[in-house]
Amino acid sequence: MFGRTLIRKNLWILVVILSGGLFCLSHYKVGSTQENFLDWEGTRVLHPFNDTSDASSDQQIIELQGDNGMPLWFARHFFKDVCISGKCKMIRLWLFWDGAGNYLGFQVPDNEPLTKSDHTIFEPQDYQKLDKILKDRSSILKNLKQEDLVIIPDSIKNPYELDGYTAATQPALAEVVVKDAVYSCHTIWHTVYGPTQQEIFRLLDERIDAVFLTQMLDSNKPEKIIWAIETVKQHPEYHETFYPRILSFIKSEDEIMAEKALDYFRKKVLKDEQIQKQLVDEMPFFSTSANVELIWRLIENGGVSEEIFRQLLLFVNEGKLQVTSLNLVYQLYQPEFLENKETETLLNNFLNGDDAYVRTLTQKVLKTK
Amino acid sequence: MKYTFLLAFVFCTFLLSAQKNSVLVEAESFSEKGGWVVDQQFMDLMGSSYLMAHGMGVPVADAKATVSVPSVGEYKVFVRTFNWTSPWYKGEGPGQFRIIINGNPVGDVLGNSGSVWIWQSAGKVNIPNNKVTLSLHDLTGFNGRVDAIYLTKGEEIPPSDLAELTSFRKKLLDMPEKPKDAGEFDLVVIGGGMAGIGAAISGARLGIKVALIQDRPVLGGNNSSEVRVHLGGRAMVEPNPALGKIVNEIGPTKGGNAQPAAYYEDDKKMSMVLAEENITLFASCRAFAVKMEGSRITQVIAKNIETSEELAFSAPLFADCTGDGTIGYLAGADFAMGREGRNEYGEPSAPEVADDLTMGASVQWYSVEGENASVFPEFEYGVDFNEENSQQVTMGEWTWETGMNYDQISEFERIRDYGLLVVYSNWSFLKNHSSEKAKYQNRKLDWVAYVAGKRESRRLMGDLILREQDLTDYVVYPDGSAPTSWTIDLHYPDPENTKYFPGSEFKSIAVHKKVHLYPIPYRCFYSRNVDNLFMAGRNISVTHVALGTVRVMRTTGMMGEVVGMAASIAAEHNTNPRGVYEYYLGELKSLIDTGVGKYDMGNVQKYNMGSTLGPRK
Ligand SMILES: Cc1cc2nc3c(=O)[nH]c(=O)nc-3n(C[C@H](O)[C@H](O)[C@H](O)COP(=O)(O)OP(=O)(O)OC[C@H]3O[C@@H](n4cnc5c(N)ncnc54)[C@H](O)[C@@H]3O)c2cc1C
Repeated sequence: MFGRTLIRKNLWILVVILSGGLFCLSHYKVGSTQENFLDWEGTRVLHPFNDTSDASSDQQIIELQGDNGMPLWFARHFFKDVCISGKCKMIRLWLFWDGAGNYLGFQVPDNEPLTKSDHTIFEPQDYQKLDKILKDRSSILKNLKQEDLVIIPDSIKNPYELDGYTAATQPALAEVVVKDAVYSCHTIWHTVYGPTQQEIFRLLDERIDAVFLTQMLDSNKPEKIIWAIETVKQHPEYHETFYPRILSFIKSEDEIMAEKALDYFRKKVLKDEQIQKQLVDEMPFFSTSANVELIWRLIENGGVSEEIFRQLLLFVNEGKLQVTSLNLVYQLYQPEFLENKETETLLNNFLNGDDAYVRTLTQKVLKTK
Repeated sequence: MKYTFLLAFVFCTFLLSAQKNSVLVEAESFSEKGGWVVDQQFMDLMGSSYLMAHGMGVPVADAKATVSVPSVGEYKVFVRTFNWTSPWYKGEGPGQFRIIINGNPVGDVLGNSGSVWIWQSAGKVNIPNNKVTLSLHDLTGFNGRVDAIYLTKGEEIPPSDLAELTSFRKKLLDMPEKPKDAGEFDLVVIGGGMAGIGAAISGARLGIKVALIQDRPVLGGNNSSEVRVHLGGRAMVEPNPALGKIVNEIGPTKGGNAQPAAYYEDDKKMSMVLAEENITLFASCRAFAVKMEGSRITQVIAKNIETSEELAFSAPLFADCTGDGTIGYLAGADFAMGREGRNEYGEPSAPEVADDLTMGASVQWYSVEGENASVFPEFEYGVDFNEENSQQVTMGEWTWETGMNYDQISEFERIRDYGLLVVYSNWSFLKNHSSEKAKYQNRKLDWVAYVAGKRESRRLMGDLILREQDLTDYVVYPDGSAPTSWTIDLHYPDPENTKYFPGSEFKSIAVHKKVHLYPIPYRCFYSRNVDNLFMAGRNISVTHVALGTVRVMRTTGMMGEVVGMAASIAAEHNTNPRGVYEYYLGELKSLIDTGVGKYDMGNVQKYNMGSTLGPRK
């Protein structure tokens, strides 16, 4: 697939002026990713970056900005060595991060493809695999040092894994690296998630203000919205302005974004009864799993007011909240809630309703609490 | 729903026999349990369920009962107990307690000597009234245990031989010769783990009358708050996405092993079962015998774990969801245990030569940080911990696994006890001696399981025995049903742990091999030689290696769903499990396509679904 989409096209010098600086990009083909990032339109802004740990690579980060000054991507040109037991070879490539600093892609020069330990060049599917590896921010490569990358004996065929969690052991490595290019994969992965990315995060942090956050939240781009949510979490001074917006993202069909948005509402934030109420009012529009997660948070938060409890019961009664989460709702029950007539009536309805599960559960909760 | 609550507190009776000069009181029938727990896990091994002082190092409140004696006067007192650390420690054990009669301690400290279950003498007592109060007074919080108390004016010590003891109990407790008739059902499901619940609900929703027999007061098996293992694997997935709806409806919504009890949502499972009109639940009943006619089971007999009442369940169909394949074993079903040699099924991951190794059992635990410093008693009973070999942790979940090289059935009490022993010994070292003890100063044990989580024992053999190659080469059979998705996940003693505890490891590692979503053939779900026996759960017809993937509980729950479906078809057509495969597979497949969900809902269990799948060859 990659082969077909490979754009054999040279990219010529693009000139950007920032503080009088000039730089160029030359002769690069799209190494792996299906997009040619260097083709994107926008204004290129140069950020000097004095990286003492990687002096042979460009000492600058380029940012591509859209019309409104929003970052579209960040890029840096690398020229660095990959070493195996003292023997080194140089690799040359561009790495790209999206407008929120997440890995986006890479491009290698037409005439300097990546090579493997047997000196053969990367095939399209190798580039694709490399791209997949680089997308995985918690890759097994993360905690491995160069010296850990030895090939394992045949006697141990299977990866060790704890029930559900992969552990970083040699056998698992074969599956996650490009065959015969383990050192390149390791070096590039650590380059993607190394000092350059930290610098990009710093550049983004420098720009944090209400306008920039609004732009990020308005961007329609999940990665930017998630960045903004995380940023507001770390900067409580923006909480009041932005939490209603964040709350609205829980309704998103993008599961990860919805999860991140819900994740914002924890601990101190969730102590605010007003916020609890706003969240509960929106539950009919949330996914079933978000609702379940929210009720758990309310339980772990130490409970809710009678009014909120009643609202939850009402939603169950109206079929707006899954009947199967009633047992969790009942974990929020307090006997004094019965003093409210409406709550009492609702519970009585449940006791006499059609659904036997609801009846049984309600009987039990009223008896035991 | 008819809920036959056969619990002691409902009956408000205790078991005693006043036969001339003697009285036998079953400890588990005490009306007030105080802090003592009822442990039924080993009743097939030592003859009864018992009370245990599971206080995690803090003495528990007294258990109490008032009983009548036939006449006043002087009685000898015997208590059946077990010095549970005796396999590892020759001196006085930690499970110490006293018996208090009419408010006064009688005899010496009990529970601390001997090396098997024994009748320990507690001396003599003068009983001035016909009504006597008995109390069990725990001294340590370290799992002292009491099976029964015998008061006698005679000279005899009660029998120790298990068969003799059983008839002695029956006689003295005046138990009826024949079990009480619990009724006729279309399907009797034994074992209320995820597999058993799945089978019962599925059958019930399809209109058959089901009895569900579970030997604990709660449902869920390893997924209950008593064992605290979270559900694993994927449900509602290809190639049979309508399977798993019950699992999704009844299972916990939050993941994690060894977490607070609420995570396991026992109440949901229980209420879902109670909501089914066609299910009669017999909680706290342990099946221990079967009645056969030729190669058919006609009845399963179960005993209440508190009242000892025996019940007989009749049905044309039975489902063994006990995990241990107990019903199949009692009925003479073919079974396997341990690891097959490579030659037997040609499995690449099988050992060269067959052996008895199984995966182990876990006593999971956790501690919590308190506001103030707390003490934990010195606990050294044969397993020594030091700076080098101690586990500097605050909780222990699945990797705390023991007994792989012991028999998971006949040596299970020893296996569970070793689990307790290492948790307490290690914790005692951390709290009292470790160079890091300051870190643990305010921490206290908050939960240590006493119901051990088991992974593997008997596998009952069906018309098809699933092998590794079926899974890895994606050999799909026409009766493919519940999809398995977990890796082939086999456990071994942790080599690091072996360094310090060779042969008595308590930590494990897992070795994984990925599989694609693979529909387990229906023929793995019924016995090849007991005509009317289904099975679901970890005791299905698979090799040791194949068990590695099918054993996770979303998968076992789906097996249950399939068994419930097959049972409904068998009931309708008056056939047996094999008949369903031979003549009604189309019907089964169409039920598998439809599923038996009741609530229209998305996946609410987005945890522990397993790593990426293997290729579909
Ligand atoms: C520590 C640990 C971690 C694990 N990790 C995972 C994981 O992450 N995810 C996962 O899905 N699986 C995991 N497993 C495996 C899984 O828990 C078991 O394979 C699973 O419990 C099998 O389900 P089951 O319904 O067959 O058996 P069980 O859950 O054991 O249920 C059987 C039930 O039958 C009852 N019973 C037994 N005998 C009788 C009798 N004679 N009469 C009446 N009732 C009886 C038992 O009390 C029990 O409640 C783990 C296991 C352990 C021990």
